[in-house]
This record gives sequence, structure tokens and C-alpha cells, in this order.
Amino acid sequence: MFRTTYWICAGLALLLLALDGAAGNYLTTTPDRGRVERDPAGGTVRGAGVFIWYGGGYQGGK
Amino acid sequence: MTPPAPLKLFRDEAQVETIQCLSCGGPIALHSFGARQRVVCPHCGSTLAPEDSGALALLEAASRKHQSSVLPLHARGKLDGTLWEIIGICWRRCVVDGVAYPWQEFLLFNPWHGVRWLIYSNSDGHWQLGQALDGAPQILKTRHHGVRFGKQRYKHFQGAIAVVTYVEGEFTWEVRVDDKAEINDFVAPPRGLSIEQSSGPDGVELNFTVARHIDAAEVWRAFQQPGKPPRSRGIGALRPNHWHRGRRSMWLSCLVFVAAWWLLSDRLAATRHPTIAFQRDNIGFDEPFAQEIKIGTPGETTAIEFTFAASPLDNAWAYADVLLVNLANDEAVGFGIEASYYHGIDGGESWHEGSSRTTHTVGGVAGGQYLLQLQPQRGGTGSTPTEYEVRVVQDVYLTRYSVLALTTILFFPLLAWLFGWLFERRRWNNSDYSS
Amino acid sequence: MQPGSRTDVSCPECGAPAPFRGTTVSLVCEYCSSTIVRTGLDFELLGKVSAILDNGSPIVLGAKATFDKIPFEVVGRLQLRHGRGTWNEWFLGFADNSVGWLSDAQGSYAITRPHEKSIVAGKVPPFSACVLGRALVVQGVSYVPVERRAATYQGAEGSLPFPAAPGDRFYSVDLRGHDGEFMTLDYGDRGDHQQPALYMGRAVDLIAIGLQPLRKFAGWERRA
Repeated sequence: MFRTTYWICAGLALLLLALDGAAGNYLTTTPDRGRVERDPAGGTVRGAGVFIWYGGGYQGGK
Repeated sequence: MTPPAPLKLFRDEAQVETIQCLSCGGPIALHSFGARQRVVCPHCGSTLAPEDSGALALLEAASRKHQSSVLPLHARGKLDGTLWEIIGICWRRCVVDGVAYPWQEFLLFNPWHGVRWLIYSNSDGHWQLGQALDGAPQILKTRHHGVRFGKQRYKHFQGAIAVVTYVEGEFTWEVRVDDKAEINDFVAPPRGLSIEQSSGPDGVELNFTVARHIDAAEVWRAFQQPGKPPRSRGIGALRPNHWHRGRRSMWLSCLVFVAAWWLLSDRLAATRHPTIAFQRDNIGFDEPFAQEIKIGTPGETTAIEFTFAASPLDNAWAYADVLLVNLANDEAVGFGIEASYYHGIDGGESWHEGSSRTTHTVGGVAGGQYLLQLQPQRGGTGSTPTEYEVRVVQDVYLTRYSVLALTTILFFPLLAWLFGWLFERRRWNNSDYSS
Repeated sequence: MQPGSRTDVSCPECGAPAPFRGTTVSLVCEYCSSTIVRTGLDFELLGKVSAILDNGSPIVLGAKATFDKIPFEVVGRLQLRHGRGTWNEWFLGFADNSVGWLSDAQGSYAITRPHEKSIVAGKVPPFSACVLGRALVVQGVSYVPVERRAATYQGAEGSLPFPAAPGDRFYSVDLRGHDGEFMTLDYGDRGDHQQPALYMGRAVDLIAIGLQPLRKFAGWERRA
């Protein structure tokens, strides 16, 4: 049982290293992700609009 | 003259008999078919011995009460594929450091296979199954006193004087209450070897026994006893260390895993080509910063390292809300990043904390065109920063994958090794060698 | 019919056939229990001397098995008595005309074959000086004396390679090796010399060597 658990965990860790080591999808902290939209009220910066989070969820700051 | 029919000396079926105790008159069943040297009445403890003619005569009358043992006389059980019957029960005890340790020895009999001993330790509930050694052990000149027989080495576990305290049934040797023997136990779990020395009528008597650990459950099953066997405490001298089972395959597989880890880590590092996707310094704090940048390769996902550095920083901080918007699908990644530096003198000691340059790693970034947007803030009591620098490096090597894999690979075998070591320590705490 | 056996010998006491084998020196008539001893070409009657006790042995005369790939038959029994009771030494006749002994004591069995006396002559202590537990080295192998017996004759049946009679004394030492070897030093009827007969072999399990037939015991079933 212990040995089987070991083999499964080690296998998974190596699989993670092999398949996701380059992309880094799983072992990085997840910052906020989501859709954004252009802020209708903000000004333009260097020709591009200021983006804010869709739905207003992310207000910035820590 | 016609000769009489030939005598068939003892070739008929041997019979059991029941006799009356010559002291108390109680019934004594004789199940050893003549192999006995002593018969002790279960009811009164009187000893009968066979005379030269083979008939039993009273050797020593006694009157002691019957003592209940964990298995009854004449119980039959199948062990190692052979049926055995308990024909004699003998209680012995040794005294170590002022504490008495009693145990019960069950003499198992099979008319074709001879005898075995089933030993039950009263103090810790552990069982052993033993038989006479087919040879003599060799004393080894090792630092820890040990012996060898055949291919097996045994380590000295304990030595004690054993005294017989109670006897009932039939025995193949002249057993007697108060018989003393010096016993030295050697272990190689689950096996053990005992050397017993006693003084007999012909001088010194030597007996070698080889035993194996046997689970209480197996004994109970074999003898079809009702309920559950008595609970066992602690670690028996011969109890196998389950952390040592499969040890070789575990370490072998660990070796294989480490080799795979080495190859995969090496390949991962070699295929990483970190390059700067974007870099700009001297950015001001007055307005948000936005810049279209290209990250990675379309169709591939990459990991990036984002660096934020502000100066001058002296007891001050700088913070930025960073947004990376994927221009293809308006999906964004956002995080905050802070650089700060504080220092001072506290009770004569100077201290400092923070760093003017910080990094943040983001993984799973799909390749393509991105808008990088920063909303900076600053503050502090000292000199606040006037400008900041931003750098995005793509295709960075994430050591965490390699570290996690190696940690996992080594953790389990090391844990098993630790538990195995703790198990042995508990076992040897009961020996003559406990610290 | 064993090679070298004589079919024409009769028991002088009761006239029953007394099948002497090539190696038999004394034979206990199985009809009247008289002991017949062969001296040269003559056969002498020694009288009724069998007083064998039933000590529960599962071995019976006539049983057969194989040891080290050579088949043998149990052809005789010598029962001896010492301070702690009686035990049996079964005389074995092997198919290649050699002999051996099957020691039967307290449920332990061992088969030994005779070896050259010269291997141990002068190199082992006399019976009286043998110390239990003190190892001896014979042909480079270490043996530990585990049993010393000054035994007397109790009884006999079947064929034996020597005449055995009441009052005969047998001095022997059993030694065991570290890898299952078994050795018996047979000092004969005196304990003060250093020229014992040498027998070497090993412990056996009767079922494992396939000894058949075995004695039956009430209440015990033998699985085939």
C-alpha cells in the first residue's frame, strides 16, 4: 500500500515535470484571470484604452 | 512343527489410553503413544514416570491447583500444513531487572512429525512457533554477539535464567517444577534461535531451538478458538518489521525514478531559452503604463518572469497592478507586485528589509499579442521613487517542477526508512541492549 | 530377496525361517523372539532377549524410503536405554548393499552412514572427555557435541550388524554441524579410547523422505 502510493505519487510528479514543466500551468500561483473590457470612463494611454475587469470584480490593490 | 504366527512388535495401530492419577485418582488422558518421559496430572500436579517395564509409576506426589492456560490441553490445530495436538503445557518465567516475565509453552505433538513448541508470552501477548534445530549454531566473532546456522545470522537479543513454574500433561523430557535453564535468545526477525543450557543427570544439557513469529490470529484460527485472541502489546522480539518488507524494490524504484528525474530535468532545462520579451526603464508614476508586447509563440504556452524595480527606494514602497490582456480573446491575467525598502537602527543594531527589485512568475501564458498594463502607486516616509523599470522574460525554467519531483521521489523511501528504524528501536527496547 | 541373503537358515528354537542378509550378524526371530547370531558359518542361539518397549515410534520394520537417491529398507531395530529413557536405532539396508542407521529419539530423526574410522582416529577425545558445546573440527568442518550417552541394551528386532545382548553397553556422542550435518561417534562398549566408529549424515523428516508404510495411530489420519 505504502509502496503503491509512492509509485503513484512519484509517477505523477515526474509526469508533471515532463508534460507541464515548460508551460507552467499547474504549479504557478494563479493570479486573477478573466475577461476584461475597456474602461469606458478612463482616458486613453498611448492610444490603447485602459482595461478593467469584466463585471467589475477585480478592484486592484492587495 | 508349525511355527506360531510372527509377533508384530508394535506395528498395530497405537492406542490412546486414559489412566487414573496415582495420587489424586483423577483421569489423565495419554495421547503421546508411548513417547512420553514424564506425565504430570493436570488436576493435582503429581508427576508420573515410566518404569523400565514401560508402566507409569508415581515419581512425585503434589497437590496444586489447575492453572488455566490460553490454549487448553489436547486442543488440536493445523499449523504449516500439519495437524498438531497439545499434549503438554509448561509455564516458565524469567526475572529481568526485578520484573517477572512469565510465558506458556505448549508442547505440540504429531505422531509422524515429532514435536514443536508454541510459546505464548503473558507480558506482551506475542506468539512464537519453535522446533528443535537440526544442527548446532556457530558462534560469530562479531561486535554484537551473534550466531549463525545455515545461511541465517542471528543477533543476541537477551539472556536470562528461566524457571519452570507450572506443568501439566505429557512431556518427552524430564520436566519438573523449579527446573532452571539459562536461555540466550538470538533474533533475525521473523526468525529466532535459542540456546538453552541446563544441568541434567548426565551433566550439562544443551538444546537448540529455532522459532518463527506467528500471529495471534493465525494461532486462533489454527486451533479454532472462539472469539478473539488476547491482545498483544508492543513489538515482539520476532515480529517482522513491515517497513522492511519490499524495501529493496522501493529503493530500486527510487533509483529508477531519480534517473528519470535527472533526464527529464535536464531535458526541460536544455529546451528552455529564456529571452526578454519586453524591457523598459525610466517609466514615470504619474499615469498608467500600457504597451503592446509579443509573448511566446502562438499555439504554445509559456511561463514568464515579470520583474518590477523602482528607484530610488529608501524607506519607501512602489506598487503596481499589472494586467496582461491577450488581444486575441480579451482574456487577461492580473496580479499585484510591490517593491519596498526600509532600514533603520533599533537599539544600536541596524536592520533592513525589502528589495527594490521584485519578480513574479506567471505560468500558463498562451503565446500571442498582449497588452501590458500597469497602474503604479507609491508611498513611504523616506524618499519616494521617481521612476520604475519593467521587464518580461519568457520561456523561463521553472525549478519548482524539478524540485517537487525529486522531493516526492526521495520522501517516501526516506519516510519508510525512518519508520523502519523507529520500529527496530522499539523492538530492541525490550532486549538486553536498550539504551 | 536381497543379494547375499540365505534362504536356508531356520530358527534353532522354533524352526521358523530366519532370513539372514549379507550384512546381518544377529537376527531376532520374529516368531519366537529368540536372538540368532551368525559366527562365521555357524548360527548360534542366544536366547530370548527382546524386551522392546513401545515408545510410540512411527517407524516399523520393513518400511522403505530413499535417502540421497538410494532406496533403503528398515531391516532391524536396536532399542537402547539411558538415564533419560529409551530410544531406537533402526538398522537400514540400502539397495547398493551398504548400510546405515536411522536414529529415532524424542521425535527427532537422523540418518547416518558409516565412514572410515581413520578420519577421526586419535583426533577426537575419548568419550569421557567429550564436552558438550565445545566444537571439534573434522575434515575442516566444525561439529558441536550435543549429546553424550552411556546406554544399555533394551531390546532388538529384525537384523543387526552385531550381536546385541542384555548387559551390553553402548557409549556414543552425537554431534551437529552448522549447516545441518549430523555425526555420531560410536565408542562401542568402552569410553576411554580415541578410536570410535564414525557415522555421518543429517537430520531427516520421515514424511519428506517418503518412508512407507508408517505406523497407524488411533485418532490420527494419514493423508496420502
